[in-house]
Amino acid sequence: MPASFKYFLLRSLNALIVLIVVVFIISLVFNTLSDEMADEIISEEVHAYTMGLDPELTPEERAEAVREYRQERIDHYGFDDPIWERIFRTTYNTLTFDLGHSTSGYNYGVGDSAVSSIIMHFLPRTILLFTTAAIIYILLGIAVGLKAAQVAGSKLDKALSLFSITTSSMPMWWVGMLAILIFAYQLGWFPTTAFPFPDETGWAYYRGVLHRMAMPLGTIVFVLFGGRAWGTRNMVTSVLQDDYIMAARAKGVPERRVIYGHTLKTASPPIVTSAILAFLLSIGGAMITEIIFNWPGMGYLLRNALLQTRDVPTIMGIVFLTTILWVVGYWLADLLYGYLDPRVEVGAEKQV
Amino acid sequence: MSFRLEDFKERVFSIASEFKGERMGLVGLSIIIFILIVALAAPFLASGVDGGWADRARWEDNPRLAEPSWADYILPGSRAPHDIRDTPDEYIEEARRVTQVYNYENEYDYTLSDIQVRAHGFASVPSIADAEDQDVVLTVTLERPDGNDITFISGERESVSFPENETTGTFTRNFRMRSSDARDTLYSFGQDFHDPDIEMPEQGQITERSIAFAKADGNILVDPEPLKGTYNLTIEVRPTGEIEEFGLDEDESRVIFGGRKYGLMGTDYYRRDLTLGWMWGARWALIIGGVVSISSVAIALLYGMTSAYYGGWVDEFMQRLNEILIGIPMFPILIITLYILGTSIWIFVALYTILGWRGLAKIIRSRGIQIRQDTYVEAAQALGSSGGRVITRHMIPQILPYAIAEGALMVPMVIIAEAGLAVLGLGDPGTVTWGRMLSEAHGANATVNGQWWWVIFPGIGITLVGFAFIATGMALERVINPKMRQR
Repeated sequence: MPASFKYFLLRSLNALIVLIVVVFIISLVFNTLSDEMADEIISEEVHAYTMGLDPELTPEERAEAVREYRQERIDHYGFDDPIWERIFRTTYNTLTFDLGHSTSGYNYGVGDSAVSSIIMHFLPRTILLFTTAAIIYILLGIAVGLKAAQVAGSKLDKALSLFSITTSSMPMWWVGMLAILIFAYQLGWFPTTAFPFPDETGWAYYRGVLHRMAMPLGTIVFVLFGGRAWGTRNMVTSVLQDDYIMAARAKGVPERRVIYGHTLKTASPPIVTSAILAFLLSIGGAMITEIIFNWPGMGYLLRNALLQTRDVPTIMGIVFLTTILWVVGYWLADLLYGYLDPRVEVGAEKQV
Repeated sequence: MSFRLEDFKERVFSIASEFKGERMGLVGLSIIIFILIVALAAPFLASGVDGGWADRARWEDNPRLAEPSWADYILPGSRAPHDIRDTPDEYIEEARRVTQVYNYENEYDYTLSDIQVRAHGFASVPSIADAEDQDVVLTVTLERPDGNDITFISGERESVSFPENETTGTFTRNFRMRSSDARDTLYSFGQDFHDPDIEMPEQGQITERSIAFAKADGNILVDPEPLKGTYNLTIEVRPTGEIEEFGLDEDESRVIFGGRKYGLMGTDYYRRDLTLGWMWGARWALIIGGVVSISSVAIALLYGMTSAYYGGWVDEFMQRLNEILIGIPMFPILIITLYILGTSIWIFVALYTILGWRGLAKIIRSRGIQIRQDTYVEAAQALGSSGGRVITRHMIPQILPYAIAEGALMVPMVIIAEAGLAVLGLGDPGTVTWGRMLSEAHGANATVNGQWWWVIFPGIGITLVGFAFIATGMALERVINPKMRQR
């Protein structure tokens, strides 16, 4: 069996185990609370059922019908089943994307109460904001980092170091709050809230969305690009000290080609993987940034589900989604690293 | 063993002396010391603030949304200071009337945010039979320099309550310029002067409190300009019915002129002194950052070194386990667990620690494998030292400085994570953290309303601590291993 295939298999197996373990933990925590939730769900349904009963029935018949219906619902959800059975069932359902139904009552304005539909309604806005930001800050970070590496020790290099330390000490969403204070409150350039989206159609709609997106986008890029640039700079400078770079320089290879050809080729695996990991790590902060700007995405949904509706199935759904994103991203980063850097093999770290 | 301790000491001294050459590291260390002093002082200078943050009564006497005291120096205009008066400037006793007068000199562009009056007095009747259903009549008036007086309370009856079998009773009347009655009074006062050519604004569109101290011209409602000069706030009490003797109690009565600036960092919507909250924020930041990073580093050291020392299948197993742990995402686990187990700060600390050590353990293991091959480790083994002893006495001290540097780099992440969870409503309601302050600022729309001081200072706290620990940790890393700098 080729080593690369073994590497792929092992990484994939690892990712799968992690996914199952995490979903299992979430299901475990979830089910410990389901007794309280069960009462709530069932009494709501029973109440609706009582309203629709035939008014001609005698009180005894009514009570009997309600009792039967209640038992039917309990059986339906399996609330009488042993806890372990319920945990395994939740794990299985979640892993097969059966996320249940929202208990919010109004489904956050989405027509369907299925958690997966609600998430699919909010997810595109998050993807729009966050992937645009990620593309900008990663490219900007790599470009600035390469520049700083070429002039290591210069004023630019030192300024970048200070900038990256400062921005990585700031909560991203706090920078968002400052942005609102400065650019929305003081200068009035942008709307203070991104929601609701513009009512227009066509070109005016996209312009309106862009206008609302400018501040959250700028915030994410501002906070994350410094760290990316500094990371790139460090990887490149450490490669620049290698013997073969010195040899290339001694041969008279132009500096541009040394940087963009030789060095970048060696430094790209860690640059790519660390970009992916940094991206994954910043998802939490980005979701809270959405909340600050009232950007109607996953963060907004999460805050409403947590604070207003206490909607456990939706919270579970969002948590599951971020977990999947993390695990898949981590797995991809691993595979890419192995692909870009053929020296990495299974167990390679054992030899150090 | 003593020679080993000497070695270790020497190493620490050499690191310390090299650290002195790291400018950024020294800056970071000084900030940490400053924050540490604030954190240690919090229980003394701001005692009870931590538990009493949500207690409205505690903050009643403070002004609402006051800017920092030094705002006058950096921003245009002057702000009225907060002024608590325990004794009136004049006390006039007449036959059937007593009056307290409080002078107020308005020389500010941003006038008072509120006036709070607490009128407490006594009244006596000739016999016990009369000691019920007795009223005094109260009038509260603001006399303005331009002669246009505003009567907030106009001859309202306040009943006297008598203790059983006593002929002397007491009465209390509290008043606030922010109350809805007072706001209505101010609105109709402004309407009298309003320029008929300008459209009359609705009451919801104006800030009533500035009308009281505004020039009585056509713009009083739409663009009030401060009227400077001497104001008198008079509280007048008249007796009714059988009341013979009466008066206002000087000790219990008081007037608070609610300012527009207060303390080092101002106050929030709930009148809380943000400076005191900030001090506790500093304390909690150091506590959670410190506890999580110290315990994570300790676990990582033990785990990594054990794995490195024993090697073989133990190492293989521990590394596979660690790889699975590394794959677990922190953010969703924190949300769901805090939501369900409760939002205690200690649950947060425990969870973060449980997931905090895994990455570091991997690095420590790989360096531990090198250390294990050192001669003195082999010597210790040959002399019959047990595995645990070799790990704790010989291997861990070698890597400790590096682990401390990594621990320092972890602190900001912990503080930022806690703050973010607070915004999601998963902060501990029993503690004051910078994250909680920011989440409350967000909840009260502080950004949209331009209340910059409420937003800026807690965030500066987080940034300052983060910066200090990163700068110190990075400097420490450079000193320990100049070539290793990668981050």
